[in-house]
Amino acid sequence: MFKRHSIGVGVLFNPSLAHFVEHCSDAVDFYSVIPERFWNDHGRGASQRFVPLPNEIDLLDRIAAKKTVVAHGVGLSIASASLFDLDYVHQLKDWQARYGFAWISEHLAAVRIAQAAGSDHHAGLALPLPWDEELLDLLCTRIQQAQDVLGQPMLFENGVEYTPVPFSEMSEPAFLNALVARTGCGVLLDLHNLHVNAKNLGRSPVDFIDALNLDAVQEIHIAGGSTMHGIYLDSHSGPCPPEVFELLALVAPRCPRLRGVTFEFLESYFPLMGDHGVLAQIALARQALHPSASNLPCPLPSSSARLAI
Amino acid sequence: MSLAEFQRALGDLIASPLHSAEVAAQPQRALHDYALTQRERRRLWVMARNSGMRMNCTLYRINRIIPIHSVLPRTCRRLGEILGGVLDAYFADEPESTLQYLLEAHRFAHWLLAHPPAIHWPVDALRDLLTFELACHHVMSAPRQPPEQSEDDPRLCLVTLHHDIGSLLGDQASAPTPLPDPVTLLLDARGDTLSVMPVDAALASQ
Repeated sequence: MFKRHSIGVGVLFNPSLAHFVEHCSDAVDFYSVIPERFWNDHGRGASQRFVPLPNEIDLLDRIAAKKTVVAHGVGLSIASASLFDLDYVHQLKDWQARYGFAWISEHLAAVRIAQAAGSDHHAGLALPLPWDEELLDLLCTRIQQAQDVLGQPMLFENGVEYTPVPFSEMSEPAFLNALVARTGCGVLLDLHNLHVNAKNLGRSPVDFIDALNLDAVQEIHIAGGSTMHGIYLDSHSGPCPPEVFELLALVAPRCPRLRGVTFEFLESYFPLMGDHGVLAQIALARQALHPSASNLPCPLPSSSARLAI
Repeated sequence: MSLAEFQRALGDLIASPLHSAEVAAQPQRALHDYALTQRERRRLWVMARNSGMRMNCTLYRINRIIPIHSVLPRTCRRLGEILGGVLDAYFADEPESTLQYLLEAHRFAHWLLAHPPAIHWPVDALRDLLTFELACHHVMSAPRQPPEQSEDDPRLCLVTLHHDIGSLLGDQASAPTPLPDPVTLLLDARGDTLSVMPVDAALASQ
């Protein structure tokens, strides 16, 4: 377990990391887990909505026995104006009681749309959001309700946009600052998302960081991406680009309440990296957090695995 | 409800490149059915004209294809070059997307059998292939059971096919011919790999 006020480095768990969990867990301070990976959600209104997945839960039990776990939800869809899923929040609360997540984060996103029949359908991707007072009011009410249920503040992640909503009333960082001020929630700052928006939209990540209330940042995400049809995607397709580590070195010292840095990748890209590649990203993150200690040793994995750098 | 309507309209835009093009060209007509403010209409018009909207539409398609391809890879391969057109028609008929892989795959399988694609395969052979792939996914994603419950192990499943499994899964262009008698296969995912055995052979090995 890592100390509460130190900055840990972790990895977002996916099934390709099963071997890593057994043999390399000494190299990370925590695992971030997506709770939805451990149950089947049959949708609002289903007689038995959340059905646990025993195989996956076995694995989560093993992870939680080894390391601190934090929750990174993908299904709340808190910015969907047509629905607010308090049942999902209660499910999260049950799992918080079971696993004692060090913190709980979610996306500031709308990915579900309620249908007239009462069911929801998935929008296929996170809808771009209008940074307006209307959305801010809606989110403040919901976040306060969710935090009341959970009994703790949540963190919300900045997103990627390929087509920003024009004529917004405020900037995204100004919107996040207002959300923090009015609800007490924290911010999960995804540096790769800033990098994606810089590549596609020409937005300055540094301007975003300068405008954001960094006192609210408690977790940072780092990841890699890829280009398709001339557009750079947040595909989590392996190692982080150098720009992301540069941003990490720049912003981390300015976040007094930062608790963890999490490397994210999709399991389909694991064969390109292997355990060694994941360990290398962890080591680079530690180096960015502690640039003065250029030879800071990464905790050695418990197996014969070795760093690939 | 204005923001909800805006999100509904934006979701429809992302789900259909054709609708997106209509909004870009004729926003008043294409957005007529939504209860939107003037600002929201203008926003959608600007977004529909943005080059990034193509990527939104592409990501929507990718995220809908992934569950289908994950559960039914051989079926997708069999559809070959017409897969894109088949999916366009399916998405148009079934616009309600879900990330529940098995639900989306079952829905696609039912739809496909009701709308036989233009391939050199009889519908019965396609039904066999879909049945086999859905059963494989079912046993492989089923939870492990304690040994004392092995008789009811959900990682075991019987499927009855009317075509040779080799010809269903093979790459040959010709259509599989029906077997004289149906064959029942035992799918067993209790080990590290999925095993498929004719039932008689399975019984003989025990």
